[in-house]
Amino acid sequence: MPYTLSKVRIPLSDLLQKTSEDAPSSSSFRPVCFKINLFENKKGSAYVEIGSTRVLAQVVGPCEDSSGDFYEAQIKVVFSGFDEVSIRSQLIGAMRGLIQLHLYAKSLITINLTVLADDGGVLQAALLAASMAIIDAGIEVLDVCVACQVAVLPDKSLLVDPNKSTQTQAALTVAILPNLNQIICIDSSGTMSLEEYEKALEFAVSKAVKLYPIVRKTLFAEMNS
Amino acid sequence: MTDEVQDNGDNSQEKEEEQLGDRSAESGKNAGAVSKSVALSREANRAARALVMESNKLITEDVLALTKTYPACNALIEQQEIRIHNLMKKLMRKAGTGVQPPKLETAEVAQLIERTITATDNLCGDIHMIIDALDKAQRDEIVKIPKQVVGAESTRKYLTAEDKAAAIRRIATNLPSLLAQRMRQRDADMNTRKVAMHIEKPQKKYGFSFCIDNSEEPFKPKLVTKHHTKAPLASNLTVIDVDEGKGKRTWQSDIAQSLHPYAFELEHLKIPEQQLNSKKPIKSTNLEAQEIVLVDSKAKLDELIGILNKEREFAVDLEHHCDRSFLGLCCLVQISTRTTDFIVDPFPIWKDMHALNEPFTNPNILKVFHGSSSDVDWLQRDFGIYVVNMFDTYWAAKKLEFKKFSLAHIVSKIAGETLDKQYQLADWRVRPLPKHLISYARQDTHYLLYCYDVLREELLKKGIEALQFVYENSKSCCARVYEKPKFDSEKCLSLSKRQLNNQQMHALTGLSQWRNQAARSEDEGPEFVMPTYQMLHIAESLPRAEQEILACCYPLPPLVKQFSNEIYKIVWSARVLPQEKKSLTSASSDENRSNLLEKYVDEMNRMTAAKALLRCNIDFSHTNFDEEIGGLPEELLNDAGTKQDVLKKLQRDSYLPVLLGLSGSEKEIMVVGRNKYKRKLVNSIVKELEEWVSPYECYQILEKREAKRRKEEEEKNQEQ
Amino acid sequence: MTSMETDVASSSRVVIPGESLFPSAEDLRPGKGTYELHGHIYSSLLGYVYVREDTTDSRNIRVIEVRRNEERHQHVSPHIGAIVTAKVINIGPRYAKCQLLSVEDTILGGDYTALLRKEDIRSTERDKIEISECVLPGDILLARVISFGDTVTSFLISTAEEQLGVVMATGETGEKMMTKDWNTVQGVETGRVETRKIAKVPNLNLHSTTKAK
Repeated sequence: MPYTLSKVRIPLSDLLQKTSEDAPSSSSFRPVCFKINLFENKKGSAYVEIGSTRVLAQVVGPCEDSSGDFYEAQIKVVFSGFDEVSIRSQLIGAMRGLIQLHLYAKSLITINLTVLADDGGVLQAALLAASMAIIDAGIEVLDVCVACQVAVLPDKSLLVDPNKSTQTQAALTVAILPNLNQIICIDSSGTMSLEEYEKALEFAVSKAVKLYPIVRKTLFAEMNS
Repeated sequence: MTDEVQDNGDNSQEKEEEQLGDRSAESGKNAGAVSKSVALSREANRAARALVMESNKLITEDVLALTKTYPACNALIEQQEIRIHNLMKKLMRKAGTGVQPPKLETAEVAQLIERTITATDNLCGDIHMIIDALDKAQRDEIVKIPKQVVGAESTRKYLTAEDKAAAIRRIATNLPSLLAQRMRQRDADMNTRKVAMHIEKPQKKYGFSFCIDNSEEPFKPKLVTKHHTKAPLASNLTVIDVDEGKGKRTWQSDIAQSLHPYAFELEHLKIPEQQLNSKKPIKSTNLEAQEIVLVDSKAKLDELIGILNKEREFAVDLEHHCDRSFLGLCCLVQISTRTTDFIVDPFPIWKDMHALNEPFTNPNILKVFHGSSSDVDWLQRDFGIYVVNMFDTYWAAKKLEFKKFSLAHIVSKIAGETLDKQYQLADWRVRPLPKHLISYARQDTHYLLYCYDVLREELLKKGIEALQFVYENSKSCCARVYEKPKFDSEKCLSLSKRQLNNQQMHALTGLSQWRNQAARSEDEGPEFVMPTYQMLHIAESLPRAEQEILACCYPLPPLVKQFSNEIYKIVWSARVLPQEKKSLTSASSDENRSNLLEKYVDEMNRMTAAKALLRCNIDFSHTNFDEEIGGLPEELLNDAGTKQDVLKKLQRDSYLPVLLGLSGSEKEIMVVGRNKYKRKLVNSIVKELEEWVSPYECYQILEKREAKRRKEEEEKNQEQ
Repeated sequence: MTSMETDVASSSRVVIPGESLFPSAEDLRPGKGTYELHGHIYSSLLGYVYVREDTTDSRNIRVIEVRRNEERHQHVSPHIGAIVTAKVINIGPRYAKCQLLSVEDTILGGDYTALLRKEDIRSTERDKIEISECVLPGDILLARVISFGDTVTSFLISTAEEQLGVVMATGETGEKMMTKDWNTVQGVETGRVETRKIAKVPNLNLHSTTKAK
């Protein structure tokens, strides 16, 4: 099996439980890194790293699908490295709101997602990765998709982008299309009151929008290179 | 044993009797029979209940085995069996169930049960038939049956020979008169319809065709004098224009045509007190007793007007004919007062009919109509008669939630008379008016005043608002302004149910236009000029010769024969048109076909309301798909505000280099460096690839050449 | 491949999906890579903005497109009425199975198969056709998509027009054939003549000597 030698040093502490990490700031994301078009092939691809959560997305298609609908394309999402069924359905739902399916009749779009590391916030990373991979593949979409996860802590305060070790009472992931002002995915878990939910939603949307310039820069960087 | 059997039988029987009791209660005709049947069903209920209670006291199966060992009990049981069996036999025969209980010696319980069930089923079946017949009678219009006809009696129920003979004799004696009457009626029918073709057109005969304006000009009101005015007529219609240099000018306002001359009066109409108070309804007089007065001269008309002016209310109805006239003709005006029925023949007095305006627009005299919307239009159109203060029995029936709103139903329900509706579609232009037509016509208004009285009482019982409702709606009917029918070429295309190509469409439009114009100039109904189905036939088959056109139209209308040349020209001009092939896509054939992708894409990308709903999965409930939404604020697009919020990781700190390393080394790059020969080869290959024309490009070039050629031809044709 | 586009004005402006390009106007048409919503024309692809003049319909319409690279569009899907270039894979008694190579002038990315039915090959004498006299495996055709087909069959294409049909043929023996006249092709090397349903399209490659794709 072929392998490559890389010069990346991964400190052991990264692989063990983090104890010396700074307390996450309530209003900012963990350090992010986005890149699209990783492999110089016809397929679209994107890599999203938020803190220690790392997700890679690859898009194959649109391919002919003789059993598909003649009015819109079918979307297939394949997850590897992760075992949550609910995330898949949320992702498919979000992609259906994002992609202009009617332009690809009788076609199948396959999104392959690989979760390399999971430190909380997999859905938001997967949403970002999938949408960027689709844009890279040249499939027509309505808008860039930005996603964000917020948590409601036991002391009723809101925290952006929690990691796995945070004790949360409830968590909410939101994906929005900023230019059209539309929400395409909401995934919530835990218990919270209606007011807390509304506040969390507002907070999440406002934070998600902050990711927009980063995504934009990533996309531009690809075009200019 | 037999207890279950009795249960079943009686339960269903009592249910049926109850139903019958209810139904006969509804028909409301024979009060005596109603109470009788209700009482009967109650008694049957009571008896059944008692029976069930008694039968429950009977001994059960296991105790029966013991009791059967006692000979005395056995004898009692057998005796009762025989008695019950006889009773059942008699009952079944008398009730006419057509079934007999099985013989006692060979009877089994199951057989007995079966027979009893069959018996009750037959009874139920009979009862259902009766109920159905009653229902049907209620639903349908009760058709008047001449009194001489004796219904054919079924002979199968007669058991004795004498009864049979008597029945046959009865039918035989009535046969001549029955048949004769039917024959006479049928003759009369045929005559009225045949006459339609040979009647001289009243417009010509009585010389009022100049009153009829079939042109495309908007309808001009025919009002001559405005009686009972509250607002002067002129002020509605004229506009006085003061111009600096030219002095005063009066313009006829072009909204005049759409204004009702009595609009002001109708708006400010105050319903007279006597119409709002409750009064005992006055029954209409017997048909034979009441006089019919035929009004067909100016003198008689003046007399009628004098009488009407003194009345407090009168009923009005019109008979209309539309086959042999473009706009339609009023053939008869029926007016009824409490004492007399007047039939006004408008043909001799056409120009003088407007004098009827005096009683018709008098706000203190009530006019009773039924279904007045078309009547009001026709009065305006032909005579210039307007109506102020009207009661429309149709709206009263609607408000009182009658089952049906036809005049016949109202009259039958209130006055109990059945109207003979067979002459509704006869040709009313026939003169002199035959007797049966006159008597048919007067019936329409004869009962109307009594119906008005009863309806008024019913409405007042509901409340004064109900009565006001009817008056409001009647008023809006009066306020109708007649408008001439306009010819719409779009509508004529929708006449055809099939897809037509451009030749057929052209022919259909041309024929419709010709038909409309011919109808207007000859003053005939369009259907008389050329029936629609014949027009469609010609348009679809595009016959080549004049004979074929005439063959398409069977039966041949006289005007088609007269103008067959015109029709032939229209069809020929349609045939000459180049046939446009209907292409698969909506692009017309002479457009550049290679633009299809563009058009398709444009169609796909442009949002319409339907597409927004169907295709876009996003939510349009807050802003419509075509309304502007605010864009993202500028700061968001720059980095400025976000430096604190989102930290960017350096690439080397992430796993990216690992991933990128995987693909980097697999690129194939052709290095054509040193070898000159190889370089030349590569260059030549590249050049050939660039020069090679793909098949689609050849196709596009062909299309462009075709388009250019066609354009040149068109220009050449235009120059010629 | 030579470019058939005329009057393309490119800008060096890079846009991302969702960016509002222009407010909607009567003379602006949202072309490929854009869509119109909320009164604006938005981009739906990552790429460069192109504005093209379109003068059919005797109106001056500017078509806004967004493309990743200059020449071609990235993903197309065959739609009804489109002219496609197809290669015949195999033939049967009632139809010929083809692989779609390109839709109009965009090469298809995926593997699209289409069926050419016997009755759709010609518009005249539709029931007396022998498929092997009209197309053979290996031929390149110009055809029009007439239907999406159902779950079993894929796209249906038709060559029932004069300008559609075989443009480049492969003979029974596998050699390349060039069109001789309206009904026949002739082998380049052997001179063998076979019949095909030929597209009446000018052949501008007569001088070319490269092998067929």
